[in-house]
Amino acid sequence: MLNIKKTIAVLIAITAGFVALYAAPAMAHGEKSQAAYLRMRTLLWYDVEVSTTKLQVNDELVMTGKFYWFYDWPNNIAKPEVAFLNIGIPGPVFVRKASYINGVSGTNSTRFDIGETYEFKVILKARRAARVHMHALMNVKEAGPLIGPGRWVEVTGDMADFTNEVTTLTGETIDLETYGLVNAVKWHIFWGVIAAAWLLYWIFQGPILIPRYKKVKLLGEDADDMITAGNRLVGVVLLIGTLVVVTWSYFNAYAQYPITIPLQSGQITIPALPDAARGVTAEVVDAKYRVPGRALEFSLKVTNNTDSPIRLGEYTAANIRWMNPEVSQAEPADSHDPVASNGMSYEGGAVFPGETKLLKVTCTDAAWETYRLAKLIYDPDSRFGGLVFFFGEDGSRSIVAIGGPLIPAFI
Amino acid sequence: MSAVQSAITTAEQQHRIYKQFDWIIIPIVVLVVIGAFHIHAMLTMGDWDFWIDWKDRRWWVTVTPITLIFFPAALHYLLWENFRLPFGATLACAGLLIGEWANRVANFVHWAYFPMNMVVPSEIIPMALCLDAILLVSRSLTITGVLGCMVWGIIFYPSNWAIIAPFHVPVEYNGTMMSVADLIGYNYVRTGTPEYIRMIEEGTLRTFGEDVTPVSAFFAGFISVLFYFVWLGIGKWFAKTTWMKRI
Ligand SMILES: [Cu+2]
Repeated sequence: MLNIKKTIAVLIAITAGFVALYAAPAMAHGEKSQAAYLRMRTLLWYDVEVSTTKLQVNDELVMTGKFYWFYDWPNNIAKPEVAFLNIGIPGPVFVRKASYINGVSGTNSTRFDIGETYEFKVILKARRAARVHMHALMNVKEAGPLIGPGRWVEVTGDMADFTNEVTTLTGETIDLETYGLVNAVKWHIFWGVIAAAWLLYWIFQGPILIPRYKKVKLLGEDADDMITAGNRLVGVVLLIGTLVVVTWSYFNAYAQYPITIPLQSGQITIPALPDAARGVTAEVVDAKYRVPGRALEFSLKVTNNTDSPIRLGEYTAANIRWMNPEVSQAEPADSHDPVASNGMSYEGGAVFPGETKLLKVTCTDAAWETYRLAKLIYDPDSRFGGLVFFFGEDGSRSIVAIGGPLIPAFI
Repeated sequence: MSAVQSAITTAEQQHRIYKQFDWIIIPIVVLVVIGAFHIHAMLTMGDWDFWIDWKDRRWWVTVTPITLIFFPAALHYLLWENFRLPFGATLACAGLLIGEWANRVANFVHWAYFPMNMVVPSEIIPMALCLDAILLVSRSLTITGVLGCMVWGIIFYPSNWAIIAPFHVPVEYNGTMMSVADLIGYNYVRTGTPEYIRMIEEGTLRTFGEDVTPVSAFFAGFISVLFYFVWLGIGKWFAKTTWMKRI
C-alpha cells in the first residue's frame, strides 16, 4: 500500500515536473551558458533599447534594435533558414502586441541572409506584476535560441485589470484572456458528468471485481451471458446519445461560427537593410587573447572610402560592448548590462578618406572572464568575431563585421 | 490467503470484504492510470494538446486518437476478459482529463501564467464512451477493435469542434489574417516554443485540399484499429501476472 502511494506520488511529481520544464524554460541569464564562439559568431545585436523599464499593467513597452547575421557562420550551427523573432521572458509577463523586422510584421517565421543587417521593433503590453530580466531573442530552427541583450524591467499593478481586446473580421470584439473559456469548460463538464455516470453505473452494481472475476472464470466460454439485456440497452442508449450530441454540437458550432479559417502558418522573406559599413572595410591581420591581462589585442587593416576621417569607437560581441570613450560613450543600462565604458583603446588615430591604415586595438575587461568569452580558446573552432564601429567627424557611423583565428597568450 | 478466507463465515461478510476490495483497488487503478496515461500523453501528443494554436486539421486530428488508443485498449482487455466490465476507455480518458486539467490549471495557468483558454485539453470523452458502448453492445473485442476504433478516430474532431470553432474566427492583425488561435499563440509569448516549431497543416494530406479533416480522421481511425489490437496484446501480457490467480 505505502509503496503504491509512493509510486503514485512520484509519478505525479514527475508529471508536474515535465510540464513545469516544458511550459516555461528558465531564461535567467542563459546568455552566459552558450559557447563563446556561438555567441560571437552567430547573431550580433546592437543599438538595443527599451522605451521604459518601469511600467504598469496595460502599459506598453517598445524594444528596438538591430541585428547582424555574422558572415563567418560556424559550420556546426544551422543557418537561419527559418527563424522567429522572440522575447525571452519567464511566461507571458507581457503580451506581444506587435513585432516588426525592417517594418514587416513578424507574426510569421522568417528566412534571413547571412552577412546582412536587420532592424527590429517589438511592442509589448504589460500583463502581470513582475520584475524580469527581459531579452531580445531569435529562435533559429535547429540552432535554438540566440539571445540578445537583456534589460531589467519592472511591472507593477494588478493582473486582474489586464485586458487584451481585439475585433475579429466578423465584427465581434473579444477579450483574448477569457474568450471561449466558458464554452470549453461547459463542454468538459457536460462530458465529464456523462463519463462519471457511466463509470458509477458499473461501480454501484455492488462489488464488481472479485465476484465478477470468479463468475467469468466459472462461466468460461459463456461469460458474455453476464451482460444482461438491460446492460446492453444502456449501451445502445449511450452510443446513440453520444453520437447524436456530438453531431448536434458539431453542426451547432458551424451555425454559430459560420466563418472560420484553418490555423495560419506561412513563412516570409524580408529584404535586408543597406550595408551598414557605408564604404569602410576592416580586416583582422592578427589577433591574440592575453589571458593574464584579460585583453583581446588585434591589428586591423582599415580602408576608409567615405569622405570623412573616421575613428574607432566601439567593439561589440556576444552582447558585450567595449567602448573607446574618446570617440563614443556608453554606460551600462542596469546591473546586468555588460558595457565596458573604458574598455577599448587603439593606436593609429584617425583614418582619412582614401587612406588604408593598420590600427592596433586592445579590448580589456573582466567581462572576458565573467561572461566566459575567454573560453573561446578552448572551443573546437577558436575563431572570434564581432562588430567594430567607426565614427566620422560628420557624425556618421560605419559598422563592419570582423573576425578571424584567435591565438592565446598565457604569459 | 487461506487465513483470510477462513475468517469469512457469512455471505454478508464476504460481500462487505469484496466491496472493500473494490474501494481499495479502483482508486489505486484510477490514480495509476492518471499518472501513467498522462505521462504517455504528454510525451506523444504534447504540444498538440497543450496549445490552442496547435489544434489543426492534420496533425492534431491524427496524432491524438492514435496515441490515446493505447491505454483504453489495454484496459479493455484487462477489464473485459477478466470481469466483463466495459468501461476501460472511459476510465482511461476521464482519468487522463483529470490529470490534464490539474496540470493545466496548476502549472500552465498558476505557475506560468498562460490564460486558461489557451491550454484547455482536447475533449476525448465522447470517443471513449462510444468505444465502451460498442464493446458492451457487441460483447466482442474484435468488433470493438474494428468498428469502435474507426468511430473513435472519426468523431474526435467533431467532438472538439464545439470547443475550438470560436478560436478559428479570422482576425486582421498588423496587416495579416490570422485565426484567433494563431493570435493567442502570438500574443502570449512562449520563449521556448517559437512559431516555426508548430507542426500544423502540413504533410502529404495537403493534396486533399478542403477535405483534409475527414481524410485525417479516417486515417486516425484506421491506425487506431491497428494499434488497438497491438495494445490488446500488451494488455493480455499485463493481465497474465499471477496476482489475479491468487485471489
Ligand atoms: Cu537575463
